[in-house]
Amino acid sequence: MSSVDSGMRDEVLGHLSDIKSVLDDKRFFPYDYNALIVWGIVSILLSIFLLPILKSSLMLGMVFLFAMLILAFAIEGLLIKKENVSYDIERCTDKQKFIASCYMLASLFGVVMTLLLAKHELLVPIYMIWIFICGLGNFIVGYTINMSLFTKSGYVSITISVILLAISFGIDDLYNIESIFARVAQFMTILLLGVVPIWQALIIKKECSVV
Amino acid sequence: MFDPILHQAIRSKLVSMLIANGALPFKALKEYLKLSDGNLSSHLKKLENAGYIEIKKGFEGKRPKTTIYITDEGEEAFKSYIEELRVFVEQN
Repeated sequence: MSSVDSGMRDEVLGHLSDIKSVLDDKRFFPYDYNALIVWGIVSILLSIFLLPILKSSLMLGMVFLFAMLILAFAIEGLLIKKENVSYDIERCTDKQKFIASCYMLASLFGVVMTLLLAKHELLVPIYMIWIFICGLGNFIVGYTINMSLFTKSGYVSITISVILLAISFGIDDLYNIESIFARVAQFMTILLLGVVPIWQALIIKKECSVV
Repeated sequence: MFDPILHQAIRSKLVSMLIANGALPFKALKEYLKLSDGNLSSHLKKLENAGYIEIKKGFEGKRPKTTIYITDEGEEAFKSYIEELRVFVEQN
C-alpha cells in the first residue's frame, strides 16, 4: 500500500469512527442527571418508610407511595423541560418519550403490585418487585441510549431481585419487616435504587464536564 | 471518489445526527457540534442545495425557530456513502 493510500485509509477510518461516535453518542440525549439524584433520594425514603407505613395503614402507604412518585416524576419533568429549552427542543424527543412512558407504565405496575402484596400481607417481596422493575427500566434505558452503565446495573438489579424472590420461597413470614431477610432486602433496595443511581449521576456529570 | 458533500467531517456528523434523530432544531445541532451560527448555516446550505436536508423556518410562540429535517434522498446518499467507505476500507 502506498503512503497516499495509507493516508486515505486513515482518513476514511477517521470518518467512520466520527460517524459511529455520533450515532452511538450518549451525550445527545438531553437529560439533566440531577433528576437521577432526585430518584435516588426518593428511592431511599421509600425503602425506609414505605413498608412500615403500609403495615400501619394500606391507604396511607399508597398515598405516600403515589406522592413520592408524582414528586419525582414532576421534578424530573421540569429538569428535562429546562434541558430541552437549552437545545430549542419544543416538547421532547422520541427517546425521551419512550423512556418516560416505560418508567411510568412500570411504576403503575409497581403500584398495583405493591397494593396487592400489601393487601395479602406479603410486605417483603415489595422490595424485590421494585428492584426488578427499576432494573428492567435501567436495562431498557441502557439499551436505548447506548450506555453500558445502565445496562449493567439493570442486569445486576434483575438478577438480585430474582435471587431474593427465590430465597423468599423458603421464608415463612414475609409480613415481618424486622426479620434479617427483610433487612437484607431493604439494604439491597437502598443500594440498588438509591445509592447506585446517585453514583451513576455523579459519574456521568463528571464525564460530561470533562468533555 | 466519495460524495464531496458528505465526505467532510462536520457535514458527515451533522447528517449522522439527523439520521439518528429524524429532525432537530438548529440550536441543538449548533450546541452539539459546537459551531458558530455562520459556520453551521454554511454547512446546512450545502446539504440543502444537494437535496439532502430540508430547512423549515417557523415560529414557536413569538420566537423564530429553525428545524432541520433529513430528506429521503439524504438518507439514501448517506447509506451509499457509508457503503463506499466500508468497501474502500475492505479493499485497502
